[in-house]
Amino acid sequence: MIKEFVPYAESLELKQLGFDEPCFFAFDNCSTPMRCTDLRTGEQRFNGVNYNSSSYTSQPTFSQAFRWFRETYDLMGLILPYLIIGNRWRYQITNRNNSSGLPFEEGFDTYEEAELACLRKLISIVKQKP
Amino acid sequence: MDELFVPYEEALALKELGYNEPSLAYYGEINGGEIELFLKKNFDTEARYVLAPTFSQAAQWIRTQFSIHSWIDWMTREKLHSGFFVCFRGMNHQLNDENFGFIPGDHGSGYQIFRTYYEAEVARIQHLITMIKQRS
Repeated sequence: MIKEFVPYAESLELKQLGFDEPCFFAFDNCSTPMRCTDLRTGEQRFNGVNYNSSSYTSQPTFSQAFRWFRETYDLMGLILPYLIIGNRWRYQITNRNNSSGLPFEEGFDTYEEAELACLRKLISIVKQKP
Repeated sequence: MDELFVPYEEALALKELGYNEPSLAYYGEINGGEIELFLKKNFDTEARYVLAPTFSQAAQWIRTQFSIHSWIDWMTREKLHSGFFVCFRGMNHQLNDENFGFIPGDHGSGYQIFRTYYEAEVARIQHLITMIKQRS
């Protein structure tokens, strides 16, 4: 399950870019993940709870993060097999305008490494936007 | 956030194929036999319920267990509606002679185009399940 969730450093960067949605987990200031529970009932809600604040940082799943980039910045991150060398991975970033010059990177040993690298690249692209 | 999770019918089909991984949620029956999605309070598997993987978990499990990778991309078309499409590739040449596949459409472009990413996600898992069942 831990592979589903964005690590602390990238969660913090997403928060700084404006990611502000309910999630199942959040980090406290010590970068310890905790379940997001309803403050009134103490129960974990099915639609998540938004803990983003000065004290906490929401921890999205990679799917949530990629969806946010798609909907907010029209940037799609794809994880694809790297066919030149078997069983390795690459990522590619596209958008709905099929813009040229969007980045890709090849040769990751695992899908998870490519996925994290793709997320970091998406963060980097948005940070550089004027 | 329930759009993170595979729908009940597909979750049941994955269970029948052997899916039994730690999951955030599960499908259970409530009064009257209606099926509802619940969050798990711990990560132990509960045999009498149907585990509800996220789409990402399901795709990852299928990639690992059955050597089929899948992805969703965007197609911009001028004369027909644009949208998302689904592709497959076999790892270790497990898929077909070309080692590549996609969900076919019936509008001449070859690909089925989905209006939303969620629709593409559901179709992806349904198609993967069908492909795996046809193998066995």
